[in-house]
Amino acid sequence: MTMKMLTPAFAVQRDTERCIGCGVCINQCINEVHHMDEDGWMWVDEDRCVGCQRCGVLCPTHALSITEFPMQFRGNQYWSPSHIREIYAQAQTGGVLLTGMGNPRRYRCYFDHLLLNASQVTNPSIDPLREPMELTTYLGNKDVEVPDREKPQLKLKVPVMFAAMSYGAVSLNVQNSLAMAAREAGTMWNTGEGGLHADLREFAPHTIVQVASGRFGVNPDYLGAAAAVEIKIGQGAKPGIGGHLPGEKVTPDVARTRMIPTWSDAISPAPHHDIYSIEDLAQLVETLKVATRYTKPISVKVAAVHNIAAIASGIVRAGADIVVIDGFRGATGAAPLRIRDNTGIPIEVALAQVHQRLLDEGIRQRASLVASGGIRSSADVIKAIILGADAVYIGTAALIALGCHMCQCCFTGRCNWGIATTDARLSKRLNPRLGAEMAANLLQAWAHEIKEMMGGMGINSVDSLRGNRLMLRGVGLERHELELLGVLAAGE
Amino acid sequence: MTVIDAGQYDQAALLEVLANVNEPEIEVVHVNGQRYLGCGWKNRKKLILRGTAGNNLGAFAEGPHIVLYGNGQEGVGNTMSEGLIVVHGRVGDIAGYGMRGGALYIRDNAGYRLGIHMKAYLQKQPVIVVGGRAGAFTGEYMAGGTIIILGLNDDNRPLVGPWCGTGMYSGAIYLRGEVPYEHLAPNTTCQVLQADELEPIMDYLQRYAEYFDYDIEKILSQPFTRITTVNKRLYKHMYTGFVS
Repeated sequence: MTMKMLTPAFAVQRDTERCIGCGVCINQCINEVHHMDEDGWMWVDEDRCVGCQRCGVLCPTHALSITEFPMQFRGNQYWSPSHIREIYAQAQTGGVLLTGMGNPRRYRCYFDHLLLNASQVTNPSIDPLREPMELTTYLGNKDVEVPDREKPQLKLKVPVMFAAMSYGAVSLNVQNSLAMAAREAGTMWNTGEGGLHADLREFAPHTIVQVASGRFGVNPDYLGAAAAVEIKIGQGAKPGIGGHLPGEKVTPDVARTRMIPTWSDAISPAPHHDIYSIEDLAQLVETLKVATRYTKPISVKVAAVHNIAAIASGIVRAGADIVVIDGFRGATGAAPLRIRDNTGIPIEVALAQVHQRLLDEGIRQRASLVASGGIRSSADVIKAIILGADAVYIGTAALIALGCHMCQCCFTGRCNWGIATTDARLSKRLNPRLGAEMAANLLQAWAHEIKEMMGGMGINSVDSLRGNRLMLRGVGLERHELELLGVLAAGE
Repeated sequence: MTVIDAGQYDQAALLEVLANVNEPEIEVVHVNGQRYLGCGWKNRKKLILRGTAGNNLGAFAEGPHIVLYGNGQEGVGNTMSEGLIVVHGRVGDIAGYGMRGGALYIRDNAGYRLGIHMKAYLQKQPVIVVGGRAGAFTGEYMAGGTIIILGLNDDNRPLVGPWCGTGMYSGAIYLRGEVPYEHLAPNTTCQVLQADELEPIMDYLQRYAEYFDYDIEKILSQPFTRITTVNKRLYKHMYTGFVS
């Protein structure tokens, strides 16, 4: 630290007329923003505030408001406040900027430029309250022309799964919540790359286990305790780089689950060192199939990058039963800020291109496509399916359902909402039964909404929706963007 | 003991046959590059292989005792969590990648990226012993366990290739004889061991001598150097937390 250049990012204002001095804010804030002096006066240290809003939400008299700090940089259309703040931070520390969650910058969001069709007069819409609507989705190889062995499929009652979030990045209560919700809703949760905690083995039929470059906690029991195995090559928040769980988060329980020494860093190298080519990937896919006796579909997850269509084609040819494409809005517990904010491509375009490429090459039926990264609502889900996805993963949306307020401080391990932490005291703030109920509620609500939108289009099965791009029209898009997405313009 | 002629089967069929042999000891002759042998095995079976084993021999295995009379290819003991693999020959790249338990004894040389990301947890302490030398990136990202390179083939080439121990943050690499210092990553530190300091690896050296009928005195005739890491939190200070 050299000299002070910045105001706090957030202003914490206390309405002293409302404040009853109960101390909830002091107890709730792990960052120690609030404190009470000997005379009972309340003080705030705004420099420590990360804007997670835990204190403001839990304050029984709503005496607190957290806002962006009112003092602004001099207006400049080119040098934005974030550019300036980032330079200050780097000038003082010399460090690579590390951040959490997904890319928050203003890039075009194609979901927001796509509109759904609905039936009027010439073909009747379907009332989902009266008629059966089918959301059941099977993920896996459906190629009937290769009559080798049986092709295992994952059955999803709703085409929305919980994305990979490792124990260590998130608390065990988060994983427990999502696992219970997945069982309740008939879908899958994903362990991420941090191994599978012994307490969660009972959820095996609803578990996807991940094999990433660090190979944490991977052994025959781990591969056995799952419905599917996912090879993680990359993720949308940080394409091309590996993972790094800081030692502070590696508690004895995390260490046991990952099978590494307590309090040591857990580094996942950028590449799998046994995968330097599509042929190598094919070999790992086959190795996992052999190790699981061909009983489980093998998934391969990659970030959406420039040549994603060719890459996905290679992955399908490598024998993957499921291909997961993670768009550039995908989130993470920790990523270098420059990578998170500047790498990858939007999931909408990637998905449309991959689906079309696999169709053109006649191999679409050999693998299911899962879209991931920035799915915010049931509308995004249905648009993703129309662009070619079989199902989607939700990570950020699932965490928001558990209380996440998007402060982007996951990498610190000091999550006041008890989500991105392994601290026992903080983790207890999320009751897994309540968490499971909220996450399951979200899926139930989205499923109803998807059925209503499908019914409006006169479609009663999600199978008829997949890749059915006549059901979408683009607004405010250039011709080449429409072509990439494979949709017509509104009015056409 | 069941003896299987690998020449009679294609790869998938061979794996199927092997999986269904319910005997504690199986011998496979005429192995000719078949992959994934012993892959994912969770048992204490002994698998004797004669010929050249294909990629990912014993990958993800937990417990089997595999003896290969011949050479191994890539990925021997890949992500193995328990068991013993003894190779009477050489092995290719990425042997022992992500290995977290058990032992890998290789009579001759090993290829690139030996023991990358090996790790240890409590009683799970993986070990790799190589009789010859190893290629580049040996012990990269190593997070625990032991790698021993003996250099017994005496062909005057470096014991390990460049970038040995890059990003390593735990565990130890032992080199016998002349250390190619220029090939060691900057975060590593070396200590030449006295005879009485060989105790942690003595058992491994004796096993090597026993498995390959080698003279232990000859192994001990050269000094050993232990390579460990200086900083266990190597990248801690590289980052600055930032909220946009």
